[in-house]
Amino acid sequence: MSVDRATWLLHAELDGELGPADRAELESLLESQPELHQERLELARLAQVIARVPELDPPPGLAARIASQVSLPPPQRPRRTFFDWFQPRNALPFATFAAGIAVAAGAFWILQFEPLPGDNGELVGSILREPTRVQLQLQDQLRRVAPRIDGEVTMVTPPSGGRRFLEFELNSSTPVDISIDLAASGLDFEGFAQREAGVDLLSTSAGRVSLRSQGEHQFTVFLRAADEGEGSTASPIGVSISAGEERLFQGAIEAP
Amino acid sequence: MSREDAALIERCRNGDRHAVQALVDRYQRPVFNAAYRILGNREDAADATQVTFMKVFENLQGYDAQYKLFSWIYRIAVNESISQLQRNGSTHVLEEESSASDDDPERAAGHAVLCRRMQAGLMALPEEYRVVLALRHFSECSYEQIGEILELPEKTVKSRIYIARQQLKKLLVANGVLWE
Repeated sequence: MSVDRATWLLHAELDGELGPADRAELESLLESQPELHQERLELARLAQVIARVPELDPPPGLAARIASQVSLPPPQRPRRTFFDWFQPRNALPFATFAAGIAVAAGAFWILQFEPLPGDNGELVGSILREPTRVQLQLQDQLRRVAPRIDGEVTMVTPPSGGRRFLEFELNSSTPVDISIDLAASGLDFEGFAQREAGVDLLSTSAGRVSLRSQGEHQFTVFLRAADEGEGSTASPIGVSISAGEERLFQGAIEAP
Repeated sequence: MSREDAALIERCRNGDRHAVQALVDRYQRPVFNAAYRILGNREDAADATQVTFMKVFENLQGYDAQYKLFSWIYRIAVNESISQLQRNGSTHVLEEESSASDDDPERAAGHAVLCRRMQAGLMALPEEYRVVLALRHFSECSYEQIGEILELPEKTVKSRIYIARQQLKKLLVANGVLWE
């Protein structure tokens, strides 16, 4: 039996990792090699010195500081956009939702006392014709600065042009104000619809749409070209989200 | 994973801030101590502890419960401490360690000297040996746990502990903490 094996066993003994067979082997080695006693003693002495080093107290307030800065991810759930949601098996809920959008948009137009645009009837049909879309992922940006909100904004451009849909999926633990800056985009506010009540449309004046949301919501802001003849816009739409005075997110989304 | 840990994880995943505090309270001390033994000063150890928990909570949704929570947190802590070492270079500040209160000034002074010399010895070791000793002696991890934390075979863990002890013993003899 080599000294190396004996040394392994001495270290394992010190670390409480010796099984019964190993222990018997070590006892036998200690009997046959008295010099191992000295090695055993030195190891024990080293361990005793290390054990005398006290455990340190973490700095006061460290735990509270950590806990206050932790951003908890919202509970995971599969993300579904309006278009993922439209499956044959979901035909009935989709139809209900589409009808809701149409009613909301219609109600908005009626309240505005404006004549309905000529292609209003294509609103739902346009969605189904594989519109192009671009997404603004809020999550990564927001995680760093705003632990209370998560979500994404998708801009959809129907092939017929002229319109844009801004689809929001937001989850916020506190009330947040969402401001959509249309000033440079060449687009006007046209309507607003949500899957479930909970988002308030605050104002739609001066090229800016303001909404307030709390909790988990999906809603869509309908936009149309300010100039009826204009088919597309080049300038991005600004999206900012605030909680009270605190700006949580600011970004821009451009038409695809 | 213990039932208590599993329950805490589940509550954290559901956004329960009390569970966050409880998880930090449960693990901050061992994480801080392991980081301190690797880094050699309190300020860096506190930073590493903070970053460790940030990463823990950021990745909580993806945490695989087949691994022990303790090992997972330690792995993050060790990796973060090593990253800090690499970022900040090998320089370190050796300082008086303040520990759980000791009313006897002489004993406290003796402890402080021992702590300084022990930490100086640890800091003189190559990083891979310092880490295994920190986990074995200051975090009381088994060979298996160290292997899991460092993603090393148990045989390598044993071998590193053996070499680390040999080297530390020489250093402690040289600075008067141990005698031959």
